[in-house]
Amino acid sequence: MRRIGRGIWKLRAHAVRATLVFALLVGGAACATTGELDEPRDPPRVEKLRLQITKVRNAIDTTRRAVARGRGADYSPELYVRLAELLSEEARYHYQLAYEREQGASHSLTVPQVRLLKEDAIEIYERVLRDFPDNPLAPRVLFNIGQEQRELGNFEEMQAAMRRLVEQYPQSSLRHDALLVLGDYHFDKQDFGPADEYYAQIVKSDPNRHDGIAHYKRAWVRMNRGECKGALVEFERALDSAKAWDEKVAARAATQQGQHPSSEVVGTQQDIDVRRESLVDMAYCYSREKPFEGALTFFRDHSYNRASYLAGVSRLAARYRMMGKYAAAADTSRELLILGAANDLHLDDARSFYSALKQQKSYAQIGSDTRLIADMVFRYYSRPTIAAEERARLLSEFEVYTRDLLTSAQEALGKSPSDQPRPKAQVAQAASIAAGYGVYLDAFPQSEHRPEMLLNMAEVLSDAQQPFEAGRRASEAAGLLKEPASKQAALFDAVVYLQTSLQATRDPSKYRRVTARATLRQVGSELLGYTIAPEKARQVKFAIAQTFYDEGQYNQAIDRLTAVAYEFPQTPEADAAVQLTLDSYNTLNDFDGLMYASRRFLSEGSPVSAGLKGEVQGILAASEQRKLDELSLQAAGEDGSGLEQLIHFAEQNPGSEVGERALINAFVAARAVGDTAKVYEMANQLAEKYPQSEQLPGIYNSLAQTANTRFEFDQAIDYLKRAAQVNEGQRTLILAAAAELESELGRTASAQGTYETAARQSKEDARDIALSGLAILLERYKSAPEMVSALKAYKSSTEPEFQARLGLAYLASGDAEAAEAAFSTVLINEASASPGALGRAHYGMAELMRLTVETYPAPSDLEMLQELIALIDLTQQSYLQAARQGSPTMTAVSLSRLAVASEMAAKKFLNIRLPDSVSASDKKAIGDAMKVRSDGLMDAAKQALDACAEQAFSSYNFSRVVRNCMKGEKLKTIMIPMDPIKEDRSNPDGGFEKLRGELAKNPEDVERLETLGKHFFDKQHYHAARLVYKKAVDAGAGAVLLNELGRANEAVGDLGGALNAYALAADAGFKPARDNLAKVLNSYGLGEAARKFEARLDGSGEAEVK
Amino acid sequence: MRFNTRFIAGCLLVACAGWPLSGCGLSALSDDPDTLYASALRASLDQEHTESARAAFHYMKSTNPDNVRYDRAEKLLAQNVEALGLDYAASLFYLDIAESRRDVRLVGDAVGALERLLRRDGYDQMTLRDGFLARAEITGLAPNERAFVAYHQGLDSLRNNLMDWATERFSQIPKTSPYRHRAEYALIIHSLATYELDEVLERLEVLSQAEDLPDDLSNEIHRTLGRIGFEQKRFDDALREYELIRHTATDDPSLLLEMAWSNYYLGNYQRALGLLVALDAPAYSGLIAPERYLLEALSLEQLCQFEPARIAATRLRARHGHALDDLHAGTPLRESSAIRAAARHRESGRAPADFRRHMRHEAAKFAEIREQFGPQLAQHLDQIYAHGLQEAERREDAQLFGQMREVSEELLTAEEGVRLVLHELAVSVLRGRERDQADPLYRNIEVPVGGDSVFYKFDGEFWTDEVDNLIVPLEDRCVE
Repeated sequence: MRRIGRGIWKLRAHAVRATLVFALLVGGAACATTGELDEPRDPPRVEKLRLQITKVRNAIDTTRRAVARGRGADYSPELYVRLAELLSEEARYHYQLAYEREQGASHSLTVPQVRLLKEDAIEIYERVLRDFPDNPLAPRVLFNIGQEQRELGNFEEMQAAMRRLVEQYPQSSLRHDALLVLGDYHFDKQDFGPADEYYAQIVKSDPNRHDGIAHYKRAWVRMNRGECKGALVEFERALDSAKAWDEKVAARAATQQGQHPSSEVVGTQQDIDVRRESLVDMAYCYSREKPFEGALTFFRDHSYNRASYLAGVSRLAARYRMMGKYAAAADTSRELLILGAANDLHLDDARSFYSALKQQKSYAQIGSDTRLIADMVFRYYSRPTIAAEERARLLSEFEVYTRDLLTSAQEALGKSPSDQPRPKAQVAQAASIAAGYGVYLDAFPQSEHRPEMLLNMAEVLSDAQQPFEAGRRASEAAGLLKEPASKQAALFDAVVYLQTSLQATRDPSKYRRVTARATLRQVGSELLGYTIAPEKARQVKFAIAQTFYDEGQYNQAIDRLTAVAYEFPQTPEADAAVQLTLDSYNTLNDFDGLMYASRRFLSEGSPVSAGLKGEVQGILAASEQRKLDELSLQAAGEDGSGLEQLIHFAEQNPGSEVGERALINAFVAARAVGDTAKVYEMANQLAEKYPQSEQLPGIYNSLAQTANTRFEFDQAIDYLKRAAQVNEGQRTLILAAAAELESELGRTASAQGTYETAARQSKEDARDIALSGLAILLERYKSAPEMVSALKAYKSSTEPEFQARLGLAYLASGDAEAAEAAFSTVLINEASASPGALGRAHYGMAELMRLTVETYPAPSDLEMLQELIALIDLTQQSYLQAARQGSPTMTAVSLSRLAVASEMAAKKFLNIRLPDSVSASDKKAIGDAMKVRSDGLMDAAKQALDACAEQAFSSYNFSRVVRNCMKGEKLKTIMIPMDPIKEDRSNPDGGFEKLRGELAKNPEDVERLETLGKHFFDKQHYHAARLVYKKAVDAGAGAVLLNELGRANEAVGDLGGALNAYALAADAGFKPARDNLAKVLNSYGLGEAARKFEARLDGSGEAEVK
Repeated sequence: MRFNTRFIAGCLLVACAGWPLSGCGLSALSDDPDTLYASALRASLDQEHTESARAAFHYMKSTNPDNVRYDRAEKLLAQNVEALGLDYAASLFYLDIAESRRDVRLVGDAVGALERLLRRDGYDQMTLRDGFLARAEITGLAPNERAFVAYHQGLDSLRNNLMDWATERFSQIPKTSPYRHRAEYALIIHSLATYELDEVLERLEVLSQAEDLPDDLSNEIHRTLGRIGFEQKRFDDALREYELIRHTATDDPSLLLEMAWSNYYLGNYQRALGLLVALDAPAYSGLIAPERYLLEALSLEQLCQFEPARIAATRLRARHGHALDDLHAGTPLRESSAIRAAARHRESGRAPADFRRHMRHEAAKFAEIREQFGPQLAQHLDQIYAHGLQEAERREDAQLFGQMREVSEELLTAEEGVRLVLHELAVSVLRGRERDQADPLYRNIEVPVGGDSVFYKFDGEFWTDEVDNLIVPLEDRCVE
C-alpha cells in the first residue's frame, strides 16, 4: 500500500512540477510583450532645430567664402545681404531652440547667440549701405536693419532705419511695410496720434496690400480713443480694402497661373486675416452704434465665408448678451446654432440662447428653436472625451432648458377660449410650441416628465387645430400615467380630440382617419373601464359607436348606436345615434332593417326626441317606398324571381299605401315576366283588398289588354267591363272596346247590350263612340225598324257614323223627313265624318231623290218633263257622289242602287203620256227623245251594275252587294245587306298556356300566332282563329295565313271577308287560296266570276276569257 | 512551512485553463509612458490591433492631452479599433483628433480617416458630418481632404440656402477631385427647385460625360435623368437612362418599380410584370411599395387577364396584411415592426436605420472581443457603444417616424386603390375584352429558337444578375 502510495505521490509530484513548468512557460510567453523595447521615438523638435542651425551655419560659411572670393564683383551686395539674412535666420533658430528648452515658458529670453548674430547681420547691412549706397537692395537692407533693431529692442535705431526707408525710397514697395512697422510701434506704445499718421500714409498711397490692415489699425486707434463711429468707418474700409486687394491678387494669380508675387516675399508677414478680424472686432462698436436690425445681413454680406461670418456673429452675440439686449442676443445665438459646428463654444451659445429667449419671452419660433438647442446637444455629446456622467448632466441640463422654454411658451399662449377659435397667429404659435414638444419627446424619450409634456403637447396641438395629433399624444400620455384620475382625464381628452378629428370632413389623410378611429376605440374602451360620469360615458360610448359607422362597419355600428340610444334616451347623442343607425341600414340597403328600426324608434318607449320623430317618420316612408322599389326592380327581372318577396311585402303591409303599391308592382312585374296567373291573381287581390285603388281601372285595362294579347276573349271582355265599372271617366271607351270584341265574336245581343249600356251611362259628349259602334252593329244584324227603335233615343247625337246609319234606317222605315235631317247632320259635319258615313249620307240623299222621282207624277207638260229629267240627273249624280266617297261598301251599294234608280227612270220616260195639246209631231219627237233617254238610262243602269261587280276584281271587295252585282242582281232595299257573323258559343280561353304566355310578351310573333290560330281552328274556335289570323296578317303574315284567315272567315259566316282573304292570298301566288276562292265562288253560283278571276290571276285579259 | 502541493497544482490548472478569459492572459503594460507608446506603435505595426489599442489607450490615460504624443496615441487607438471593425469608436477618436487640433499635423490624417469612414454606410451623421465636418473651420488640410471638407461644407451651405458660401466652398475643390463632380451634381439638383428642367437636363448630360465620375454618382445622375424623363412622359428616354444603371437594381428595388412604370406607360406590360416579379425577391421582403400591386393589376388588366389582375390586387393584403392590421388596430407606428421595417427602406429612412443596424452589429462585435482590450479600454468602449446604441435608437425613432407615416398613408391609399381596381376589373369583365388603351408594345412573347438572346424559364429563384431581366409572357387576351 505504501509503495503504491509513494509511487502515486511521486507521480503527483512530477505532475506538479510539469504543471509549474507549463504555467511558467505560458506565463512567460504571455507576458513576453512587456519586455524592454527599442523605443521608436519621434525626433524631438529640438533636434530638428539643431539640424537647421547646422545647415544654416554651413550656408553662412559657404556664403562667407563666396563673399571673400567675389569681393568687388557686381553681385557682392547681393552676397552680403544674403549673408546677413542667413545670420538673422540662425539667430531665429537659436531663439526657437531656447524657447523649446524653456518649454515655452516665456518669450522674453536672453540668448547671447541671438544678439551676436543679429548684431553681425546689422553690421553687414550697414556695410552694404555704406559701400553700395545706390544699390537697389538698399530699401530691403534698411527694412531688415529696422526689423533686426526692433527684435534687439533698439527701437530708436529701428525707427531711424524705417524712417530713412520711407523718406529716401518713396517708390519702394517696402515703404508701406516700414510705415506699418512704425505705426505699430507707436500703437503698441499707445501713442495713437503718430501711429494713426503712419497708418494714414499707407491708406493715402496707391492701393497696396497693407491698405486693409492700415484701416484696421486705424479703426483700433479710434476704438482706443472711444470713437466708435470712426472705428466702424475704418473697419468697414478695412473690409472693403482687404476684399479689393484679395480680388486683385486672385485675378493676378489667375493670369500668372500660380506664380507667386515677388513683392509679398519680403516685408511684414503679419499673420492676420484682416477681413475676419475686422468683422470680429467691429462687433463691439457695431453693437453700440447701430441698431440690430440688419446686423446679420451686414455681417453676412461682409463675410467671405461661413467661418468668418460665425466669428463675427459670435462676438456680436457676446456683446448683446453683455448689454442685456436679449432679442438681439437670441437672434444672433440662433444664427450661431443654425450654422455653427458642435463644440463647447456653441454649446454655450445654446445655453445663452435659452437665457435670451427666456428673458425676452420670445417664443415665436419656439418649435425650431427647441430643435436647434437639442440638435446642438446631440451633435456634441457623443464625443469620446465626454464622460458618461458629464453626458447625463448635459442631457439633464438641456432637458430642463427645453422643457422650461416650452412650458413658458405655452403659458404665454394662454388657455384657449372655450367658445371661439383662436386667431390665426395664435394657431401658428400653438403649432410651433407643439413642434417643440415633438422635439422634446424625441430628444428625451426617457424623461420622467414625459407624461406631462405629452399632455401639454396634446393641449397645444388642439389649439393648433391638429386634433388627431392631440388625441394620439393624450392617448400616449394616458398609457404612461399611473394615477387613476389623471389617467382618466387623459383618456377622456384623447376621446374628445380624436372625435373632433373625425368630424373634420375634408381631412385627406387616410392614415389619420383610420388611426383616429382605432385609437378612439382603444382609449374609449379603456376609459369605460373606470367609473366615470354618465355624461362622459354617453359621449364616449357614442364616439366609439360612431367610429364603426365612419369605418363602414355598419352592422357593428347599428348594434352600438342602438345601444347608446336606448341607454341614454332623449339626449342629443341618442338622436344622433338613431340617425346614424337609420343611415347605416340605408347604406346597407337593408330596407327591412330600416323599416323595422324606424317603426321601433317611432313606437312607445322610443329613445328619440319628439323633434326627431317627424324625421324618422319620413325616413320610414321613404324606406318603405325604396324597399318596394327595390323589390319591384328585382321582380321585374328576367325571371320574376323577386315576385314572391313583393307579394310577401304586400302581405306584411296590409291596408297601407305601400301594401297597395306592392300589389300593383307585383302585378306589373308578373305581367313583365309573362306570369299571367299571377297577373290575374294580383289583380283580384288588389280589387279585393284595395277596392278604392286608383290604379284599379288601369289594372283592369291592362288585364284586358293582357287577355287580348293572349286571345282570352272572355277574360278580356270581363276585365274591360270591370274596368268600366271603376273608371267613370273612360267608361264609354272601355265598354265600347268590350262591345267591339263581342261584336267580332258574333255575340250580337251582348254587344248591343254593352253598347247600349255604354251609351246610357255615358255623358253626352262621350257616348258618340258607343253610338257609332252600336249603329254599325245594328246595321249588320238588325232591320231598319229595329234600328230606329234602338237608336232613336240618341238621335240628338251628331256623331256622323251614327246619324248616317240612323238616317238610312229612318228612310227604310219610311220616315223620309227624319232621314233627311240625319243625312244633313252628317253632311254638315263633313269634316269629321268617315268615308263610310259620308258615303251613306250621300247615298241616303240619293235614295230620297230616287223616291221623289219614283213618286213623281207623269209629266203633263214639258215643264214637268224637264223637271223630271233634272230630278233623275240629280239622283244619278247623288249616287255617284256617294260612290266616290272612298268607302268600298258604299261604292258598291251606290252603284247597285244607281242601276235600280236608272232602270226606274228609264221606265218612267217610256211611260210618259203627253197631253193632247201637244202636236203629234212634237209628241213623236219627244217620244223619240224619251226613248233615247230611256235607253241611255238603261245603259247607265247596266254600267252601274257592272261597275259594282267590278269591285270584286279591282279591290277584292266581295261583299254581299258586290256578289249580287256579279250575279246581275241589283240591290232591292235601301238598307245594306251584310254577311252576318255567326255567334260564337265556344270558349277558347283555356289551354296553350305557354304559347299564350309567349304571345303576351311578343304579340306580333307571327309564327306563334299561326300555331295558336291553327290550334283554335282545329278545335273549331273559328272566331278565335279568325282574330288570331287577323292579328297575324296585320303583323305582316303572308299568303298562307291570309288563306287561313279566309277559311276562318268562311267558317264564321263572313263570306265577303273570306273571299277577300283568298283573293289576296291567291294574288300573292298561293295556290290553295286560289282554289278556295274558286270553290266558294262556284258554290255561290259565281262560276263566271271565278273563271274571270282565274284568268286575271293567270295574266290573260277579260276579252280572251269571253 | 508546509505547502499543500495538491492545492497549488489545482489552482494553477484552473488559472491556466481560464487564461484566455481573464486579465491574467493580457500582457502587463508598462507604467512608463514612452514604453507604452512604443509598444502601442510596435503592436500596431505587427497588426496586433487589440494590443496596440490597449497600449495606446493606456498611454493616453497615463498622460494628458497637452502631451505631444497624446494625439498620436489616439490616432493609433483609432486605427486599431477601425482595423477591428469598430468604425463607430474609431470615428469618434478621429473626430477628437481633428476637432481638438492639438497636433495640427494629424488633423489631415484624421479628416482623411473620417472621409474613409463616411464612405461606408451607417456612420454617425449627426456627430461627424453635421456636428463637425460640414460646419467646423478646418484648415491646413492637404488637397484631398480639403476637397472632401469643402464638399460637405458647401453642401451644408446649400441646404441652408447660403448659395454664395456654397459656391465659394465648392470652388475650393480642386478640379481633379471627384468631389468636384459631386458638388456640381449638388448644385444642379439644387437648381431643380427652379423648374428650369431644360437647363438642368443639359447640365446633367454634360456631367454624365465627365471622366473619372464615381460610380455611385454616375448612377445618381442617370437615375435623375430617368426620373426627369419619366416626369416629362418621355418614357423611352427614361428607360434608356434606367437601363444604364439597372445593374445596380439589386441594391435598389425602387429602380425596378420606376422601370416597371415606364414600361407600363409604353404599353410593354409583360416587361413591366417581369420587373414587378423581381420585386418579390426575398431580399426586398421588407420593402413596402403598395403601388407595386396596383401596377401589376393594371398591367394584367391591359392584357385582359382579369382574374390574375384581381388576384394581383388582392395580394396587397396578403403581403402587407400585418402592417394594415396594425394600422386598423391603431397600433402606435413605432410599435409596428412591419411598418418600421418598411420605413427603413425609404430613402430618408435609410441613414438612421443603417446607423442603428451598424451600431448593433459593431456592439455585438465589440462584445465578442471585449476582454482582449483589458478592463480600462473595455470600460471606455462599453460607454461609447452603450451610448452610441442608445443614441442610434433614439435617432431612428425620431427620424423614422415621418417615413412610417408616409408608408402608412401609402398603404391605406393602396388599400382603397385595390377596392377601386377590383371595381374597375368587375366593370372591365362586364364590358368585355376590348382594348381601352394604345396597342401594347409586344403582343404575345415568342421565344425564338436561335438568336443572340437566351431565354430561361423562371423557376422561382431570384439571382442578382437576372432579377432585372424577367419578362412575364402572359397571353394578351384582349380583342381589337
